[in-house]
Amino acid sequence: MLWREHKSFELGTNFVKWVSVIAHHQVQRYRRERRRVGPQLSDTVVDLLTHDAVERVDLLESRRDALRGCLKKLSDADRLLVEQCYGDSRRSFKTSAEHLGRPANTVYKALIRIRRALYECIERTLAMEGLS
Amino acid sequence: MTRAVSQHELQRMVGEFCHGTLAEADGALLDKVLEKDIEARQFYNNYMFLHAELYAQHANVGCQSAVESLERRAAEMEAVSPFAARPARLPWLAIAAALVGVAIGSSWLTYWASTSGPASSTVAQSAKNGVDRSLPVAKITATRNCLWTDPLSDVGFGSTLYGGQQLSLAAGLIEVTFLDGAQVVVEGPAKFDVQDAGLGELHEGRIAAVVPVRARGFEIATNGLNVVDLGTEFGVLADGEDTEVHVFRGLVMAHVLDAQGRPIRTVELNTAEAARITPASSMVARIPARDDAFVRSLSTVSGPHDGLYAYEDFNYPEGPLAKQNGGFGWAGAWFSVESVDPAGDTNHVVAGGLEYKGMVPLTGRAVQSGQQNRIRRALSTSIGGVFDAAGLVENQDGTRLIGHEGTTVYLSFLQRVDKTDDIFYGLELHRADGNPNRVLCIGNGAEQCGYGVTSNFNIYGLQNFPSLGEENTDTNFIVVKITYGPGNRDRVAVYRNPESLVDESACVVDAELVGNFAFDRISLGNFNGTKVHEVDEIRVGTTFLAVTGRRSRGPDRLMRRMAVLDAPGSPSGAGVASAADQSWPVRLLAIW
Repeated sequence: MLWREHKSFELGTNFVKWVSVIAHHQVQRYRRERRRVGPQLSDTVVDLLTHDAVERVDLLESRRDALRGCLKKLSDADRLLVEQCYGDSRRSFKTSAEHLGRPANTVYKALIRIRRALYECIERTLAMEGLS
Repeated sequence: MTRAVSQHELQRMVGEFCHGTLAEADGALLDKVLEKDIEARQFYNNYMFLHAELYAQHANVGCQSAVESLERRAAEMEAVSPFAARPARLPWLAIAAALVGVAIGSSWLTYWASTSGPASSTVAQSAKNGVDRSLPVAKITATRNCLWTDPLSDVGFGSTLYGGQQLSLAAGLIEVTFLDGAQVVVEGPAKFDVQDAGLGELHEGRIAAVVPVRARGFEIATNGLNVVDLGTEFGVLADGEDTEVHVFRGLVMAHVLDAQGRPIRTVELNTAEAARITPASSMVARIPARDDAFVRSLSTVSGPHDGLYAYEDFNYPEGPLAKQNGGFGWAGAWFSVESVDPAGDTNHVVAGGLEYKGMVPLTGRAVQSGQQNRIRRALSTSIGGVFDAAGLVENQDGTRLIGHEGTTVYLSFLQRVDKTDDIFYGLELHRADGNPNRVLCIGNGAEQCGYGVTSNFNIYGLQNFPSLGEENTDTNFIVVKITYGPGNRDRVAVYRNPESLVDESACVVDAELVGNFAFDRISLGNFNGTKVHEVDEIRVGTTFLAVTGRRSRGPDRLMRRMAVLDAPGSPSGAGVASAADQSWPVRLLAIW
C-alpha cells in the first residue's frame, strides 16, 4: 500500500504523518467495506482513536514485549483457553466454546478476566520500566 | 477521572465488543464515552492492541506478531523504496500496528466468523470459510492482462488454488481449470472463489464455464443461486441482486435458494436459453442467450502468437465442415476432396470438443462418418503469409512448402475412432492432393499397415512403418515434431499421449522417421469399414509448448510480482493469502 502511494509523498515533509494518513484511510475503507448491521463506533471516535494511537505509538513495542512476558504468567488452563480461542481466527469464540464443551458465556467471561489480567500485568511491567 | 461509566463497566463493554456480543445501547454508550474521555480512548487502544496481539501471537502463521509481520514487510520495502533518507522504520510500523487495534474495535465485526445470524446465501456462508491449504482444487491455466484487486497478490499464471481461496480480479481475464476438468474463464472485475474441485462461487462479475462429461455436476454458486451443470458450456453474470445464466450448449439446472440456502425453485435451461434470476424475489425472466457477451476461452485467439502459427478448433455450427474457414494460419476453407454423399455431410462438425486430460473440450470437433471421405485444408504458405513470415517456407519443385532447412515445426491434434482395426483412417500431411503426395499419415490401415505412422512420399509402408502401439478407442493426443535438415533429410518424432504437456524432454518418442517431410496442407481421411473418425484441436507451431496448450500472453509478463508476507517455503500462492486467511490483524496488514 505504502509502495503504491509513494508518489504522493514529498521529500522533506513529515513521513510519519504521511504514513498515518494513509493508514487511517485504509482503516476507514476497511470499515466501510466490512460494515454490517450492529453498533459501530462513529467516524469521529475512530478519528480520535487513530490520533491517540499515533501519539502513543512509541510504546507499542514495549507493550508487545510485556505481553509476551505476561502470557507466561498465566495458568496452564488460562493459557490453553487463549490458545484455543485465538489460535484460529476463522473460528468464533462461540465455536471455540463449543469445541471446549463449555457454555459460550463462561468462555466470554473467562476471556474478559484473562485480558484484564494481561492488561494489568502489562501496565505493571511498563510502570516498572518507567514507561507508563 | 469523571466518567459516565466505571472502569469495570468500560472493561466489560470493550470486552464484549471484542466478542461481538455488545448490545446496541451499550455500543452507543461506549461511543459516547470514547468521544469524551481521552483516558477511555487510551484504555480502548491498549486493550485492542492486546486483543490484536493475542491473535497475532497465537495465529497459525508461525506465531508471528502483527508488528513482526510489518517489520518483514518493511525490510522488503526498504530494498525497493525510494525513501533512502527516511526516518527509522519503526514509527510507521508501530502506527500501523496501532491502527490495526483501532480497526479491530472500531467496527462491529470483530471477526467475520463471529456469532452473527445465519448466512443469507451459499456465497455469504462460504466467504467465512478459510483457505484449506491441504486441498488443492484448481490451477490458473491462463491469464490475459489481469490486474488483481490486491496488488500484493501472489496469485498468477500457474498458481495452484486451494479450497476456499478467493480471487479478486480488478481487470483482465484468468482461466481457472478445476481438478475435475471444468474450466472457468473469469472476466474482471470479478470476485470468484474456488471451493472444491467441483464448486466455484461467483460473488460478482462474469464467468464462462466449460464442463467436460467427467466433471458433470460442477456447480457455480452466486448469491441465492446454485447453477448445476450437466455436461455443457454456460456463462454466469452476477450483478448485484440479479444473476444471469446463459447456456451455450447442453443443459444446466439453476436452483434458486432461500435465506437458509435451501432450494425453493429450479430453472432448467437448455442450449441457447438464458434467464435473469432475482433470488430475493424468486423472479425468473427469460432472456435471449448471448454467447458474445462472455469470453469463453483464452485459447481462442485471433492470430498467430507465441510460436503457434496455425490453429483449428472447429468452432463452427453443427453441419458440413466443407467451406468452413475459421481458426488462423490457413490459406482457405476446408475442401472436401472425397465424400460418399454428394453434399459432403459425412465430413461434418459436431458440437463439443474431444476430451483429453489436461485439455478442456471447447466448441466443436470434426467427424468423418462416411467411409470414402477425405477433406483437406491448405496452410498459409504464400509469399508474405503466416508461415513465410516466420521463415518456415521453402520452394521445392515450384511448390511452396513448410519445411525450410534448419527449422523445426510441431504439429498436434486430438484423434479418436469408435472402432479399432477397421481399415483406414488418418490425419495426413500432404504436399499436394493425392496419395503419392502424402508425406505423413497418423492413423491406421494406410497401405495395409496397422496403427502407426506411414509416408507414401518417403516410402514408409507395410515393411518399415513405425507403430504407435496398441490402437484404442480413446482420445489420443498426438504431437509430431519435424526437424528440417539439409538436403531434405528431415527427421520426424511422434509422441502419442506425451508424458508431459510442458516439458518435451520428459516425453518418450513413440515413432521416428527420416525423409522429406515438407508439406503445405492437412487432410483427414476415413475409408472403408464402419468406424467414425474424429479430430479436434489442430495446431501447427514452432515449439512444443505452442502446440500443447494455452500459455500466458505477453502483457502478463510485465506484471511485477510483489513481495509476500509469509515465510519462504510456503506453498505457491500461499504468500499474502495464507497469512491473511489465518489472522484478522494480519489480514488487514495485507492491504498495505
